Amino acid sequence: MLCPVFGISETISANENQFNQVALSNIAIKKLGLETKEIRLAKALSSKLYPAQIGYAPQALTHYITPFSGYVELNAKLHLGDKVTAGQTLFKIKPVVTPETRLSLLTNLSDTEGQLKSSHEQVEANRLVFNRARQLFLQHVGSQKSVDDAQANLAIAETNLNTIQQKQALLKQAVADGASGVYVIKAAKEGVISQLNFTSGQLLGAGSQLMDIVSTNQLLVTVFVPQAQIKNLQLNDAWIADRGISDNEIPLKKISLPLEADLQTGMRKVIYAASHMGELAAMQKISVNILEREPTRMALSLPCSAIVVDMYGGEWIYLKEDETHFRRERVFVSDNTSNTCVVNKPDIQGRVVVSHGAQELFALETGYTH
Amino acid sequence: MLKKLTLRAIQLRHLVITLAVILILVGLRCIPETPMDVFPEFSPVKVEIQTEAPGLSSLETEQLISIPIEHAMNGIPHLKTLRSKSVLGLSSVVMLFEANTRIDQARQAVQERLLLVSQRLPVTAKPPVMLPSLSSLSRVLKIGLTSDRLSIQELSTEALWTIRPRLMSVPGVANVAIWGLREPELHIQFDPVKLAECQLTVSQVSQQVTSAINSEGSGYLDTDQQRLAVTYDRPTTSKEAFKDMIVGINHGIPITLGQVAEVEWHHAMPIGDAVINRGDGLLLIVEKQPDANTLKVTAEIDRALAELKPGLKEMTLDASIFRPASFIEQAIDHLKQAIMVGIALVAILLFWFLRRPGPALISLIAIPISLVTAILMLTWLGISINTMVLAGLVIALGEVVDDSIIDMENILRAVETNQSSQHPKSLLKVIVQASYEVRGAVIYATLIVMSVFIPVFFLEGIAGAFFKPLAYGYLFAISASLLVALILTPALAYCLLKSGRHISHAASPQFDLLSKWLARMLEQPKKIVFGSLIALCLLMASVPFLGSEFIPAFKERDFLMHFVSRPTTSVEQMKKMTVRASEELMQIDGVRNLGAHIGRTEVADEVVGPNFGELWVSIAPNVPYEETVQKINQTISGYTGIFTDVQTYLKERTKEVMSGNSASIVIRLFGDDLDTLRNKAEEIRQAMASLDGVIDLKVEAQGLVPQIHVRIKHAQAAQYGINEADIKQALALMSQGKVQGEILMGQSRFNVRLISNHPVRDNLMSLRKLQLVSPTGAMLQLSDVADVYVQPTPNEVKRESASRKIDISANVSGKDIGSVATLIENKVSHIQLPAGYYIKFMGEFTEQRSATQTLIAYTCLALIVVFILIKMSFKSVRLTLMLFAMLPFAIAGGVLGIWFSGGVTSLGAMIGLIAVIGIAARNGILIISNVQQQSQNSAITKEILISAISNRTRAIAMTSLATTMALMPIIFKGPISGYEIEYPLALVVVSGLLFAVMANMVLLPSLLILTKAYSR
Repeated sequence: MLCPVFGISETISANENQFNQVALSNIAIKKLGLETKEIRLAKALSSKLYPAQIGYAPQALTHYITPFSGYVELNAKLHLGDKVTAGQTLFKIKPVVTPETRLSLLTNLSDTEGQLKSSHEQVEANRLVFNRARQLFLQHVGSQKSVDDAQANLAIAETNLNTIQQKQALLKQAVADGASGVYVIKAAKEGVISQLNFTSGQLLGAGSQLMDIVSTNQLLVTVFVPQAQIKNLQLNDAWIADRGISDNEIPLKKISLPLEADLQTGMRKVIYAASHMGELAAMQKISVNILEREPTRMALSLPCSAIVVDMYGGEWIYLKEDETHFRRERVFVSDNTSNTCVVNKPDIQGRVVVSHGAQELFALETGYTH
Repeated sequence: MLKKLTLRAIQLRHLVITLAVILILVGLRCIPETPMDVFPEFSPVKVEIQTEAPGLSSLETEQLISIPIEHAMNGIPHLKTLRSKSVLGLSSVVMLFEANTRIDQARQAVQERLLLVSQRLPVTAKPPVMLPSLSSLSRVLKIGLTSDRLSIQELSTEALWTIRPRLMSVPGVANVAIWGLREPELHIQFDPVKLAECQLTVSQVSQQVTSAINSEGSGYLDTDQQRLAVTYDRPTTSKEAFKDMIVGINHGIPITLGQVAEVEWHHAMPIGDAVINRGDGLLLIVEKQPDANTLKVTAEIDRALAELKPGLKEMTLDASIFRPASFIEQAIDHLKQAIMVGIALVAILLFWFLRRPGPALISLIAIPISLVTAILMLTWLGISINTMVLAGLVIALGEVVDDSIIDMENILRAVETNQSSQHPKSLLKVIVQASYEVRGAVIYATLIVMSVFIPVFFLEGIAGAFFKPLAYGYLFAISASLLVALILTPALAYCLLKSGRHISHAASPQFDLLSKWLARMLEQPKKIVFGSLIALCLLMASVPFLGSEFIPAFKERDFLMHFVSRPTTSVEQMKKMTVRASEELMQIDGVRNLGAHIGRTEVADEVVGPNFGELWVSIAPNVPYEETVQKINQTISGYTGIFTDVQTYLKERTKEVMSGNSASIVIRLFGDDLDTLRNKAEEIRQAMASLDGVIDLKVEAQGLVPQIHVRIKHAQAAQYGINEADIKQALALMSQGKVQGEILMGQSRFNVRLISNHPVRDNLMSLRKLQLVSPTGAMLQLSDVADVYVQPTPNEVKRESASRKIDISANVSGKDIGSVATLIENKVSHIQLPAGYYIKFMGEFTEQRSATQTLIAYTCLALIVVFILIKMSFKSVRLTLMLFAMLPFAIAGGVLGIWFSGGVTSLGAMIGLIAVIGIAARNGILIISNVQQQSQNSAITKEILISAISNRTRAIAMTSLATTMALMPIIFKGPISGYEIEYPLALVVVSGLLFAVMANMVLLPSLLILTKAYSR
């Protein structure tokens, strides 16, 4: 447009927003049933979701093994998955002899029998010596000392005899039974029997893994994070937000272990301990949120139904200017939860957004109407 | 020969009369059972192929499915038009065949080619389906199904497995489409975390479920005596049975489905919905086969529904949402009333003119016999009886009685002359001679009337379909009346007059007055000719100011409202808006009920997206029509951002058949590039927007809509061990799931669908955050391994004749369609189009113009035939030209009739003009032939002229008045239902007739006097 006096062009300035306005009559608004909602500011936590797996803490698992070969009897009250207390008898072991041992026992028995015979003879000999020494003493031929020495020798011989007799009895029994003694093994600490590898009464060799007892309050969460993202994350601020596991978020505490990589996925393992376990179980695969290193900020949340996507993927909302005017505004959805979208647009805080009917307004603006 | 025929007829009069009685009895027996419909089949022979291609975009659907099918179908014998429409995941190819092509042959040819092309379609496409052939007015009934207690799933099961099969078994029903269906499905909602915990994959679960539910025969057990079939029992519909199903083994431990998934009854993601009155429900649309009778099919459906009702507990069936049968019954009743009242008026007229019951009765008998013969002939030829045929019979009433009147009147005059002569001849000879005297004129007159109807048989398309039955009815009736006049009337006259009673041929005193008035008028022939010419010029000068319309608005009480939102609108949002509109519409006084369908349903005639809806309301018969329609219009038009219009089904269908678009004016732009098409279409729309009278203006919604694309990031995917198949599977399972197979319960079948327990819904972000499980067990988001972005894509691509096309359409209000269409043509012709792009004007106006041009061209041809016939009758070119000079006056009278009917030329009015030309020529022939008889090759004097006119006045007046009386019920009642097409036709015929009578009685003798034709 030309200025009539100076004949120079007049500058017309126009805000782009002026082109994005829709005006509706009150009747039209009523007919459409437009619904609106205030845009509220809320603390926005920008986090990323990473895959994770539940595992046991190194100290949580106790393996029980047989110290020697023998028949293992499980405590009849215990089953897989049962809780055990510290000091509770877990099982008894009746050791068994091997053929070599048996041969050794037989040899020993034979030796013992020889020693027994020899001991008998020694006792008899000592008794004869004693009787003669006593007779001589009574006859005042011998001395008291000789009697005492003979008596002492006899007592020693009898003791030896008894010892050898006992040894012989033991060896006889060992040879007859092939085993000897019952050993009791008790729980070192409380936990849950997570694995049972034998049947009660089974003969097991030394070093066999009998059972695992897990301390259930000592699970760890291993999170797999791509190496490139480690530096962008606040690894100390992580939580589990999964309705399938718990209605509430489960905060996680990072355990300061050296970072190690998972060879299969090429990702770093970050280990966390959970404050409470909820429905978590070992080997379970979950997702963990880890906060990003951006400063904590406030963000705007609005109903997802307020957002209209244009043909190029641009996301728009309609702000209520007054009772009959609405303005289209570009937004960028940065996050979403169920039915709520978080947008980066601080200047629309407190404004009223069209939560239902945005599609019709967009249609009107793009010429799709009467 | 004719003389002998009449003589034989009189000699064998008892046989003739007996045959006539038998004919009437046969008619009385057959006609009540003859199926009647509102309109003839007006749509061309049509075959439609639909191919579902889930997941393909509109462009992919066009390129991979529509175009290959088009190429395969090209060149099918008698194929006239080939159209296609490709939308997201669905291709529709429509083939229109030439008139008179047999539907079974067309379908056979399509099927043969379809078999070949279906093998070359992409794997994702389902097998192409050829839709059942439907009638032009396919929708015969809409049934709303609602319940206060049952859920939509339960209603769907009943509708699908109880109601639909019963209705499909009704003879004449081609399809029952159900909108709003929420077919129950057993959803296996797997939990990805639990699956990972059990070290199972979705594929393993899918494989196990599919294997378990697939029906496979297990062979036979052949014993020495018997062969016993072995079958494996598939899972039942019990959820528990599914939960106990073993789907894998983890470290040797069997994992059941219940451990990793929830099993629930649900339904598939809807492709459409329905609203009944104000809320949820199902809408069953019953479509009929071509040539099936609407009334008969409706009655059968009513009976079927009545049978079903006791078994359908706790649900309400409303079969009155859309019921064209009511309109048809009303329209046919109105026309029957018109015929009956017309016959009664004609009878009164005959008794008044002839003043004797005997001759009047003989003339009157011609009506039932001619009409019955015509109807029996039409039935025998397989032409269905409809309102157009009945209209033809109504118009023919006057002429039907005319042949007998002429015959009877001449016989009476001859008998009277004979009785007064000194040497009376035998009655037989007198009657034969008298009948013979007028025979030539009667035959020529009938042939002329038949000739002028020749153009109607050359009409094509919808005009031909509508008016050919009318012409058939008319021509059969007047042919029958000619035979009656040749055979029956002389025989009956002989019986009547043989009784010996003297029947005088006393002319009414009115005719003496007429003769005197005529003598006075003929004293100033120049004034008459001059005055007539001025009147003619004035009326003809008004022709350019006449409006035009093809088919008038029908007074149906069922209304159809298109309710179309922006493409990409969801089903839920559309339903919400539809319910709002329903609530408003239901508040209007007189709106009885409402049924709406949104989007589409499987195997139905709507190839649309969820943004398309149709609302159907029916109004009570006792509320004011125009006022209620206005209220409906006001109510529906106020929805911002939603395109709406209000139509009746008949009107919508006729427009749809004409152009494939439901608007009155359609500008079809052809070209290759979609962007250019859209831009030019918008340019045309803007050019049209400023014109007065243009309403509902829109460019076909072939706009660009956002489409989400997912593209794998190979490097990142490789890092996680994810491939494209994993992403596709996750997308399918996490969005709408995958059907694994079917389970049976009684006669019902239900899909089993595997789907995530938390499907992705809300927005793009939730899709980006879609969880994937890598083969190594790592869980990650879709955006980690794939780009998720939006690109514009056309929501639909339409093609016709191997080219893409886009329609710019409009309706007209407040002005006549012809003038608006002409203005549009002028505006649009100035728009520059790129090379290879062209425009085709279509729709009601184009069809009417084409029909009018055909009519004018063939009417000229017919007039030549008429000229030859008249020349053969008169053996004088001069007299023939004199008679021809009368025809423009008859047309001018017709034009006046058009002005009386509202100043709009409809095709009905054009047909009326043709009828008027025929009747005018016929009357002229009768007068001139009488003049020739009286002059006996001597000079034609003024006295002879007056005498001839006086002689023929009674016949002509009776003919004209009889026709007028026959049409009077239609004129008096106005354009009520059933009279919409016939009302302008009746007005044109009556006013044209009056002008023709005046021209023949006054102007013709004046011209003869002026041109000195009377003095040899």
